[in-house]
Amino acid sequence: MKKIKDYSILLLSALAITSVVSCTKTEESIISVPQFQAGQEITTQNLSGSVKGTMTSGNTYYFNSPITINAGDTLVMQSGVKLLATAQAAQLIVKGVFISLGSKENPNWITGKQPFENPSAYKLNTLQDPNIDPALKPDGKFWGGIQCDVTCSLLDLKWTHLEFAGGTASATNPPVGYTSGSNLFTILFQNPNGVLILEDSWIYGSTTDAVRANGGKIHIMRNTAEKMCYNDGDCFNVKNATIGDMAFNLIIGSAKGGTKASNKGTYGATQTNINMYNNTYVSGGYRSVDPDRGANLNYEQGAKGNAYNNIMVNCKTGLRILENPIADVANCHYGNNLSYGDNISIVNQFYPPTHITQPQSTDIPNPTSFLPTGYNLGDVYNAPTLVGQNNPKFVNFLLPVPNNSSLSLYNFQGNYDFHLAADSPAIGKGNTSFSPINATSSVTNQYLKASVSLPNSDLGAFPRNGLGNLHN
Amino acid sequence: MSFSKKNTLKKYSKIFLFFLLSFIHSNAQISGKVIDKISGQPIIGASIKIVPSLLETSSGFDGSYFFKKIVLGNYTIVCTYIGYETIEQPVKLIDNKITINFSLVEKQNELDEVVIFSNTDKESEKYSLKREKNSENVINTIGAKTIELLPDITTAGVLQRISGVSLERNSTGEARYAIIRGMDQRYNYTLVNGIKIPSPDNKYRYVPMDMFPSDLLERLDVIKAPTPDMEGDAIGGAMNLVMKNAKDKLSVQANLGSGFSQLFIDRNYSNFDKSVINNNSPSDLHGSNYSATPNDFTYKNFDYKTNKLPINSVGGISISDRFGKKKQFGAVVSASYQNTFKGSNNVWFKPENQPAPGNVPAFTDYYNRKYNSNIFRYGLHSKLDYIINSKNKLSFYTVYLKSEEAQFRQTIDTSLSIGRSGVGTGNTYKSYRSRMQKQSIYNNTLQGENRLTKNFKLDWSAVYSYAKSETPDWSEYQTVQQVGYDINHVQYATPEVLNTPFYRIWTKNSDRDYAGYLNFLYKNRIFDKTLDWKFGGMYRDKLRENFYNQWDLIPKTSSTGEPVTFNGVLSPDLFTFNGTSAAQGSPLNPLNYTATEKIYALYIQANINFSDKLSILAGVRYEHTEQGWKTAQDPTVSYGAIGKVPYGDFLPSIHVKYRLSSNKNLRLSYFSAINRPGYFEYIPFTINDDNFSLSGNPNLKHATSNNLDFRYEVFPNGLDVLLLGAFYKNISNPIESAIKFNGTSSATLQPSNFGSATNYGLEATFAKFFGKIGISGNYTYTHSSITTSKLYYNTDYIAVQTTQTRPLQGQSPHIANFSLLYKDNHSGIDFQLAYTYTGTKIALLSPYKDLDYWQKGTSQLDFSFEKKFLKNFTLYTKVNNLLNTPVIVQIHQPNIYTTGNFALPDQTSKDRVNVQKDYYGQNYLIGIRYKY
Repeated sequence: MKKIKDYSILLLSALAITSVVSCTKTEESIISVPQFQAGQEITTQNLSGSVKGTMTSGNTYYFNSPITINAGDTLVMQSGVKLLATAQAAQLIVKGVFISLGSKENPNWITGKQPFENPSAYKLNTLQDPNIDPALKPDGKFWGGIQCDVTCSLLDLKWTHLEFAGGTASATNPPVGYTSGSNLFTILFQNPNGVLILEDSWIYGSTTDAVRANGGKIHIMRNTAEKMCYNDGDCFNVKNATIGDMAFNLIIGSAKGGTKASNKGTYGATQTNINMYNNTYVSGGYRSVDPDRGANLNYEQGAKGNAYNNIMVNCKTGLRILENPIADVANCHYGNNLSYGDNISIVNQFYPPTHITQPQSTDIPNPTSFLPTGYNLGDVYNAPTLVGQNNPKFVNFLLPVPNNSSLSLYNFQGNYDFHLAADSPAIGKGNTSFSPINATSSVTNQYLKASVSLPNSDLGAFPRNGLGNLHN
Repeated sequence: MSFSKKNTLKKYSKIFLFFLLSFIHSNAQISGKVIDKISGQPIIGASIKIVPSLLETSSGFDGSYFFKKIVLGNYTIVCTYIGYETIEQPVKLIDNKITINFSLVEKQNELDEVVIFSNTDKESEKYSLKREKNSENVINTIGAKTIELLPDITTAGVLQRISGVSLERNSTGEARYAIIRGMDQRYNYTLVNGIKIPSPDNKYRYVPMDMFPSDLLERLDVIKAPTPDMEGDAIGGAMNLVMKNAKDKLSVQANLGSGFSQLFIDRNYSNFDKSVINNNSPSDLHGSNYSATPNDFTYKNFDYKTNKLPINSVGGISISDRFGKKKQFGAVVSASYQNTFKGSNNVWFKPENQPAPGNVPAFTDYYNRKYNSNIFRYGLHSKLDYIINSKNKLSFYTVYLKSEEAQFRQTIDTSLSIGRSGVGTGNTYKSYRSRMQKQSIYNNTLQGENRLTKNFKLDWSAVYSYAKSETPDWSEYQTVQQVGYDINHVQYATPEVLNTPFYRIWTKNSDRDYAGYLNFLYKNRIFDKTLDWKFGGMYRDKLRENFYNQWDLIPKTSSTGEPVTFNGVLSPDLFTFNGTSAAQGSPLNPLNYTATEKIYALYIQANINFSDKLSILAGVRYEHTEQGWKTAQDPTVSYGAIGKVPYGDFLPSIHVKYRLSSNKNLRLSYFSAINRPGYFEYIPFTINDDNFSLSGNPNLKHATSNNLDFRYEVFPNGLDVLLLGAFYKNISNPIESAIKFNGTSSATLQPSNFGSATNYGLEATFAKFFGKIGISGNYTYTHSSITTSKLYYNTDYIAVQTTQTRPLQGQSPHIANFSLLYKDNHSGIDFQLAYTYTGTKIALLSPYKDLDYWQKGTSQLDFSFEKKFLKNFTLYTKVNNLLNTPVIVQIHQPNIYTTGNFALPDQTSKDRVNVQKDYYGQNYLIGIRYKY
């Protein structure tokens, strides 16, 4: 009760200030809303076994073993909740519904207790050797991720920090979808009829893919993903009957791919259809042991979708449309993507050789300016003049990077600001003529539903009009 | 036959005289036939000697013998044959040509009251035929004499010569598992001396038949219609390996041979040193909570030494004798040893786990593999028997078989998917796998036979068996590089880097089996008809243990996070683990389980001879089974972690035999049988196999079947034979591997029950001998059909559920054997040219409709040769796979890979996609056999 009183006072004063300041602007009311709650409030601080109910606002909880949300049960984290792992075995097994409703002001955290309490020792914002960087080194994980079973109907994460998750699956009781000892995704989703909403959240450090969806209706928007995987894994990687949007994400320093869609393994009635738009990819794809992986935008085996308005800076390769096994090329639409590279091997991969990405005249740089006449899809080309050209001019990220020989180590956000400077060539170059898939529209509850950002006329995750990624 | 010293002296003087005489005159001839007095059947291999002389011959396939250029005079012709009374026939040679026929009478043994003590040569062809003819049910038999002459050195090789039997081969072309009349190995079981033995296999209950050196066998029976006194899980049939028995006098057989494989003339052999393998895993040594470091593993198992032409060696010795006043103690001890080097060159297209739209076959990788195997097998076998008196007999049998295979598999893997835009582009992976597999089977059987009254007899067996398999530190590492063309169209390759993962796996499994058998026999006469009752039961208690432990090392990155160029030398500092739990390996996972099986069975059967012509054996068997398992999983978390499945089956059968004449039979059999799930098949694991992910099925049911057999048999004379048969099987709940629809999007192959399957066919076996030359052969036609769930990936990129009707996995419609034999007892030369044809069959099931991998029909030609010398010695030669026929596997779909950017190598057909081709090369063996 006291809390509500506090909020009321705060809100009233906020209202008073706003009314003074903005008397001539359009009226914007800020009205207090109750927190979303399901079932009973969780009173115990240490979670174990089966859990359901609501973890109430501002509280801190601990877990040191797999905790399970049973089918039919719901677990809710209200805003400002911290769920901290005290042992690597800590893990969330979601057979029912898991909802984490952080807010911009009061985000939620699921991470290790140690890095939460001492971030400066774990979240390093200088160029680091991945063998010793706590976020990347193979043995640096604090909990085992959010593992959704085939019965999970909704995983809804907003304004939530997911940090240092990974490790390997329990040898004895691997979560459904894993084999003993296999690497753990930060989020595994595998219900083709279920809904996965991940928005305005942060993912930091992982063992392998940040999100792997083997089926599902997804919405992955306005997130920041840093330092994904040591040497084997993608950031957002979906297969099998997965549909939805991946947009306005900042993906920096992933081992392999950034956003990836494949129709592999499908036997549902839905073809994988993923829009990838207005994402910003930085320094991605270098830590892949496999020399032919690490594309930052990927359409593979039978997948389709729209890929527009993305910015790729110093990424190992550009947009890849696979020829073999072939993507649904007739239904892959793309263009208006800006590529920037600090060395010759990067610029020679803007249209990755051996793949069948169709150069688009709306791309920056314009393909006609550097591709040879008689260029066939997938041909090797040489365009040394592109090095350092078409700098997207971020507010705070120096290009060319100061340490060109270690450009793969620019894998963190830190104090960098990837908003577009006023003179950025990415401004006004976007395609707004297509629509988001909005695959999660069945979730209509005001607290839970996805907030879809439309394709923007500026490129990248941080358009000038502020209708993109809301971080930093 | 031995002579006293006095006789020998006399003999020599007579020989001398004979030689003198032979200068004077030498053109008389003696010829004739040796037959069995009772049956009138020719006797093959009987010895005919002219005394006094050195002349000796033996009867041919049709019982005939022939001497020429004999000096006129007075002689005694001595005709002997094992198990028969010797006949000495005085003859006065005054004419040029003379014919003398011998009608031999079987020896009456003093203990012949107890039938099993009969003293016939059970290793002979003749005996085999007699068994086939006289048994009450449908069987095929092959005896040691025939086996010696076969080009095969393992029991698996021998099996493929039997009508209706085809073989599953392993990666080096070694025949391993038997498929009887198109019924996959899971439908058959293996007996040693009538006792079922456990398998060292880590997944299934069927026994690898290559573990049995063929020189330990007295004979091999394939029983296609089991009687109620036999265990009931033989829908396909049962193989009974009858091991050598004690002879009634000292007998020594030894054999020593050596050879090589043509493959290692054509290319080098290379392999690792077995002694560097760590038998114990890090968790065996330090406990399951131990976090391993890369230093805990050896890297020497990847030091491959090259050998130009490794020499195979085989050897065996078997000694048997009977002791005591009445020769009441018998002993036979055999040892066999084989050290062989085999290999294969193999091409394999790994299927994309989802075809291209329109369900068009697609592939991810093109593998070029070289296998190098050193297989070391040995077998020890001993049988002691004690005939206490005419009523009681005891025997104690022990067999120990061991095989140890060190295999190096080298793979060059060209990625056909991501990054490939035509020939010479894409990723190239090189893999090096070192695998040692140790398998053993141990069996101890104490058997007794007791005659309680004149007509009432019992026999019993107490059995302990133990089978074991281990693959310590089975590991493979891989490097990867990207190949492509630069701007000037010059091919380049990026530096090789180590790929993930680098697995180290320790597996161990064992199967302990206690069993007891008790049978009562009661001979009766009703209305002047003989009526033999047999009833009894058995109990078996099995414990199966399986351990699996895996560590995945991953390569370290450089300080800027990029892959490190591999300089070709493996060392611990190049690797790390993905976290603590990875470093602990997976000591507790669902592949660690114990399974139990408790079976008791009761049966009763009667064999009535209605007349000389008609006999019927009928009865019923009840088998109660309780299979159980317990995995390391937490049953409150994981479904099916613990389970128990009890079931009982009544298995009636009837076998009718009608003798049309003394050498013609008609048989009709009906029997019902079951098929139990393998222990492993219940376990709720999911593992990623080479091609698809596999999972167990705790809800599996056992299969039951009704079987009909019909056979017409003619035994004209000698070894000539004609068998014509037909069979029909209907199987309920057959267990087949198929795609599992579980509502998630990741499909797995899982053993499941599928309504019903039918399997019917025709069999023909013949043998015809013309003096020294014989031809024999068999042909089996099988048709089976089963409908299972499949996927169809349509042009809208959607995989829809559908079904497919197909033959049972591993079933070939046509199986044929044809042999040309030559046997000249005079010169001591035998040879055999053996041809085997195995028709097309499903080698790999695809989860997708009509994309199964089919093995093309294969022909194999083998040759063997023998020459007797110095009375007790035989020189032999065996050549296997004379024509070096490849095994070819195809998908029966239009081939889009013959031209264009994505053309694949080795494509020859428009309507078949070649996906595998294996060459094993010829194998040569030459050796000496000694028999006393």
